[in-house]
Amino acid sequence: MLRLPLLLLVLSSLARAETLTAYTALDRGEAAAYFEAFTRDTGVQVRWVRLSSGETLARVRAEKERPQASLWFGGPSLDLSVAAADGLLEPYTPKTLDTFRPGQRDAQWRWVGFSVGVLAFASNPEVLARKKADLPHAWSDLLQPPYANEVSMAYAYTSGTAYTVLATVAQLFGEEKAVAYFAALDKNVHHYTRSGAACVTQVGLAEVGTCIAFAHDILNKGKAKGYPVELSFPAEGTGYEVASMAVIAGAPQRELAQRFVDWAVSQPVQATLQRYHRLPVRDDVPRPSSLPADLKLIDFDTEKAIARRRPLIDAWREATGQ
Amino acid sequence: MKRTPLSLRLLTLLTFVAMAVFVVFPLFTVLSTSVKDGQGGFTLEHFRALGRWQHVRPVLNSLLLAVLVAPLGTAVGLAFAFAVSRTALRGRAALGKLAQLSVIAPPFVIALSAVLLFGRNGVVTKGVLLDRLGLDLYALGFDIYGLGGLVLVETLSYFPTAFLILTGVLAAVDPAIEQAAMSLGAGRRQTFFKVTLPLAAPGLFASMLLIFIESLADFGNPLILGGRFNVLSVQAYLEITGNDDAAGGSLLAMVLLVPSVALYLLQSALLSRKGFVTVSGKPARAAPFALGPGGSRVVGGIAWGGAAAVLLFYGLVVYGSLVKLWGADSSLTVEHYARALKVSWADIRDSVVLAAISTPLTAVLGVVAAYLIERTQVFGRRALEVLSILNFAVPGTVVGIGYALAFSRPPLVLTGTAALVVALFSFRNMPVGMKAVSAALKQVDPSLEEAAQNLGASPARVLGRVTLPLVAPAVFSSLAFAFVRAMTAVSAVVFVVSGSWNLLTVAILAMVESSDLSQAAALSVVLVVLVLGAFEGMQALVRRLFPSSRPQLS
Repeated sequence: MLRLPLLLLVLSSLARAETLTAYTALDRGEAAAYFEAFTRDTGVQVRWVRLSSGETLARVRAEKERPQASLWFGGPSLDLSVAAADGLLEPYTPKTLDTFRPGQRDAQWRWVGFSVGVLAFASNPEVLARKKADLPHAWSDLLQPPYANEVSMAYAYTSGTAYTVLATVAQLFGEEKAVAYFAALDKNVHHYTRSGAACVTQVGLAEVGTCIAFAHDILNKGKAKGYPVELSFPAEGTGYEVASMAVIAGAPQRELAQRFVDWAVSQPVQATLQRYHRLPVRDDVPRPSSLPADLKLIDFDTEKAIARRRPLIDAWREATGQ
Repeated sequence: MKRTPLSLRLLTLLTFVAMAVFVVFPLFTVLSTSVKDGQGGFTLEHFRALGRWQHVRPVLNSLLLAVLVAPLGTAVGLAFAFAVSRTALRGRAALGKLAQLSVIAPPFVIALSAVLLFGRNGVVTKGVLLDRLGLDLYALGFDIYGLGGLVLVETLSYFPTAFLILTGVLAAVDPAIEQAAMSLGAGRRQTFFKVTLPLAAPGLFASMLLIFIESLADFGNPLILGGRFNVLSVQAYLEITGNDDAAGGSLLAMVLLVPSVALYLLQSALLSRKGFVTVSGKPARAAPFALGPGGSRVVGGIAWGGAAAVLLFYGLVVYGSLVKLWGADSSLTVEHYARALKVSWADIRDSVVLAAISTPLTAVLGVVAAYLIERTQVFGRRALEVLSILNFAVPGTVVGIGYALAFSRPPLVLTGTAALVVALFSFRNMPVGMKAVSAALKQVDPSLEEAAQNLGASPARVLGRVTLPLVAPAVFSSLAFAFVRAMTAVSAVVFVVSGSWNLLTVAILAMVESSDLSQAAALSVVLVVLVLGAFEGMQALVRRLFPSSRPQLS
């Protein structure tokens, strides 16, 4: 009984010589849409597994000697940079795009950006009205008394989203002030979640009034699903994540993975990103109309965010007691 | 005493090797990880983390929760036990059946239901109180997330443990003693408080200890309903899977392990103390002491209250699974089931396949261990017994962390394989089978087997032709339990599932975590139907095959 599925697995992997294997940290539905489009456009099948970004890193590291997947798609650049430093990725310059904005590709081309997600606030207007609070428009708004027990975000140590929040506030106001900010915010936090996007639906369900998450998660899992979730942005400026991709070192299907990277940053594909409320990495395609044109982005320093990760998270844990 | 035959010695050796690899080695890995520094040397450095508030608080929270749930769950279980066995209440058989249902159902369903009932968008809190009566409980400081909600759902989840123990204990109290008290002029109330309860005291204490352990080990309910009230099992999980801190997680697991095992040993010692059992060899048994009308009303009220709560909670999950978009669109639909069968089909299939593979393995392990312990004189059989009991008392979180750490590096790399999940199920549930078969073996006179042996049968033949057929009903019954436990397991398997082998329970938890409530509810209903169907089917099969035997809850 145990042998049969294993046998089938071996057989099917033999049969799929022209199949690309991939790990992705994107939302299941969104990932499926991209992979299906790739298959439509190129005829190459994709066998993919959805893992959280931390899990992907652990998996790729564990499989270093015998890589099981060729492509790592849609992981945060923070994690891909760690993997690159550990020699787990191989450099590749996409044929379809060779000029990236600063911070949106690795200096040695070991990873390149696919799309940019910006941090935002998700709010339930009904709950906030009951508390006589407006939509938050600044990081400091969340510290106000009407938001008491109404804020939610993920644990900074379990979620890439939450660490991006932490690093953003630290880069905006300095680390010391950032730690004080999260200690104060903690008083208003109803609870923390394990994954970054989980709080959006909780806002929709009125379990909490406001949460901090990526704008694309807020739009995809809020209004698009039918929940009363409003989007707003901090006036001081907001941080972002570069959802990136890379060819895994020693990739069994190197050529297919490279072809996917070419495809993903090509103009037609980048033009579809607005559907998912993500900013493109190209300048020659339209930005999503769901995001304000005058969106204020900070100069997010990825290198610094990576280097300061452990001390910042430790300080966050001390400050919040989580 | 004859020399132990070679085949038996080989079997013993094999069993020990298997237990060493799949029971001892993972636990040892947890221990060693918690005292190892980065270079592999010994250190107690990690223990300093226990001085930090973020690690101390989960410990205190876990203890507080368990201390509250243990007496509450025992009280409800006691009321159930009295209502079923000591009153003439109508429908008391249904009460017993309902308590059994809660044993079989997956452990987090009640927490999911608590959110559907008492969350901000809950049927009770919003639908009835806020929208109809204008009463905003949440504005008054009520919150289902946290200690209060956890006490409620764990009490409802674990009272059946007390019910099962106390039913047995009450049946063992000789009614003649109670009758004697009443003949001497004591009223029903006095008899109850002065005779029956004191006689049941060890059982009460044992069931409190067991519920305490169950509450400590609970993972699904606090993960869903904890809010900011973090408990040990959840914190250990966060450290390992979220924070990539194997040492910190292992350390918390050790903190969870020690009291669990100690209290488990204490309660089994309590339950096996002969002094309290009043069943004598005398055949004449008086009719059991029944509660009077007042007492019946009290225990009946508590029991039916608990039963109504259990029914309400399960019913709500069914309702939740039919609502289009919980909290936003309450029209009814079956689309969540269609989606469940489509999107989560792989998870359903994996759960059933892995549980089905591990079930016979569990039974084989249980039979072998019980046989070695009860029927042979092989060296180390006591150690085997102790090992099996310990294995039973280890919280799932600890086992899961152990498996994840132990089998992710050479010599035995099983990460991501079906074999890892199957091994975890088989060895973790093995004590259930062992206990059932042991109990059955104790009732079979060894002279039957000796007769066969004297007539020239080899030990293997005696086992196959005489012993096994005699304990077959117990084996089949334990098969049903092994399957159910594998299908509903969460706390351990959550560490060993992978992209290629995921399980239904873990998928449901992930959906609840991202507040995909209706989808989670639909999958929960699918799971409960599968489990109940399989369980009832297997029990019916046992009754068919062995008409004289009675199926037992372990």
